[in-house]
Amino acid sequence: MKALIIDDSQLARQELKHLLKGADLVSVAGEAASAEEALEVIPELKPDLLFLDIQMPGKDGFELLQELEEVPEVIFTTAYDHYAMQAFDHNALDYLQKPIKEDRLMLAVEKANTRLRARTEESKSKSTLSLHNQVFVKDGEQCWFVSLADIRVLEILGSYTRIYFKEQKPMIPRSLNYMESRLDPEVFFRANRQQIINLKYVERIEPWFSGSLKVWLNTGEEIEVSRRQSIRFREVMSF
Amino acid sequence: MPKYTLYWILQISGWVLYTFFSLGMIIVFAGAKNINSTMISLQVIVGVCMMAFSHLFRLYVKRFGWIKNKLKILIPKIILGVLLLAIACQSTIHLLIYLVVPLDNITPFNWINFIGYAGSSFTVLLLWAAIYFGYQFVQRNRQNNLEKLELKAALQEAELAILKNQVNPHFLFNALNNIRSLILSDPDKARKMVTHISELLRYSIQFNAAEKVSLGQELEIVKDYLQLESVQFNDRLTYDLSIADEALSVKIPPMAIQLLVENAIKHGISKLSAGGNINIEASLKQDHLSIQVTNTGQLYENGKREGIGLKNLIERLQILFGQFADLSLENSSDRTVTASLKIPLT
Repeated sequence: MKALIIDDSQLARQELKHLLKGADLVSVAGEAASAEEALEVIPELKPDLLFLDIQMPGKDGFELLQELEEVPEVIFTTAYDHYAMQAFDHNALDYLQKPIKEDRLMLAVEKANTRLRARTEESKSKSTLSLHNQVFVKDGEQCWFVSLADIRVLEILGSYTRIYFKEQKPMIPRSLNYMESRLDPEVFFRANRQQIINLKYVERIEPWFSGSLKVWLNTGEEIEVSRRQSIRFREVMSF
Repeated sequence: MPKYTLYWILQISGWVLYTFFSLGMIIVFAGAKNINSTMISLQVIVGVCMMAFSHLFRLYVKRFGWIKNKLKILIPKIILGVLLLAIACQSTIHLLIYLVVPLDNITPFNWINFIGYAGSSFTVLLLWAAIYFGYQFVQRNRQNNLEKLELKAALQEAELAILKNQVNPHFLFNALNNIRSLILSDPDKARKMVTHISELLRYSIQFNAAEKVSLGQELEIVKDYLQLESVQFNDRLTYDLSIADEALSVKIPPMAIQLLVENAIKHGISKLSAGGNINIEASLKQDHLSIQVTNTGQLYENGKREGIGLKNLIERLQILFGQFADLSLENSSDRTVTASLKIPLT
């Protein structure tokens, strides 16, 4: 795995590099001292794994992830950050506390490797995000890595988009139109001006008023497909 | 029940009771035949006058804060006061019954009787004063105990809060991590850092919230702290101190400047990608020590919470120095923030 270390302390980066010498699975491909630096490096380096500090000058670690379109595997590193740790514990994201214990580091690396392999089965060449891609979502004190396959509905909310997955419905700072352009049109369908639905969750379809359609998802949500989109919907759904 | 209402209930019922008691005494010792409208009017006039004069006495006592006097001074004051009061009261009663509302069948005025009546009024009013001041003392005592307990609780709370916040764990673990890294790359520097961190920890464990330390002692620790932080921040943190020599011995609450510096780093320098400078100044003014911690950065209006650390420090300052100490935080220019601390010279 190609790894990028992001930490504002030079000594902390040096220390982590030293620790990672013992991990055969990981090769450190680069370092960044801030989120801004990382945002420049990531598109060309295309790392598989980020070691990410949270408190940094300028943008913090969470803000960096929210700006990334494709989020690689992430292992958070933090000295002691009460708020962040609450968020992690809540969702069992992988995080290491500095000074880092060597066996904990190896465990985290192995876990990242397993997840990464599962993800790379999918072809990487597509310009749109594949279903196994993940996005990072932070809503207040909670945060998640959400696999696109888990998202049922995306809904417009001003200039934000609300996504529905599992029991959660947090917001992400992207417009619905932008999300539409980045998602695989064979899976994600624009049902109306407000909503995009994941076709894998469709349970039942019924004709509705004046040529429109109503769709029931297997999780209970009811979505009305606009008249114009209903025509397209029939095309997509018929073989 | 408000104290004011309680006073009036006791005052009125007490003197009504006294009037009936006097009439009762007349029946017992002189027989019921003596009770006529003149006698009743006379006793009512006496009762009303006693009530009025005791009330005037209370107004006077309250106005001049007698209750604050020590017992040694208060007792003679009360005796003399009540004596004058009794004479004034009897004079008024005599004036009323001979001149204003002349009553029939009253023995003509003579001095012996007047002194006798004044003496009995004196005894009754003295009893009144004993009850009044007794009640005040019990109340004041209770209030004092309550205040003492409150102060103690506040101090303990502050102490606990400081113990919890004295060394910021985020800082501590970062410092340890840096030292671990330095052990490989620069063992000499690592050794120095271990010394700094021990000094800082020792200092923060030693004191308790009620104690004070000299400015000199505190600044030694602040320097240890800054050394450790400049390793974390690389070349992003610079600092300078300008301290007047005569200020070094002034006593201040421990960890006060350390806290201001820590805040300057946490909210100022650490947010700036290019880093910044911290300047610590201390000088003696006429009646206080003036300390300024200035850092690069800006305060923003939306500062939603005035960190726990700063709130604790303000509380501690109030416990130790009352209203005489002062802490303020403001933008001192368009690119610096200054925390100013005023410690009174004792």
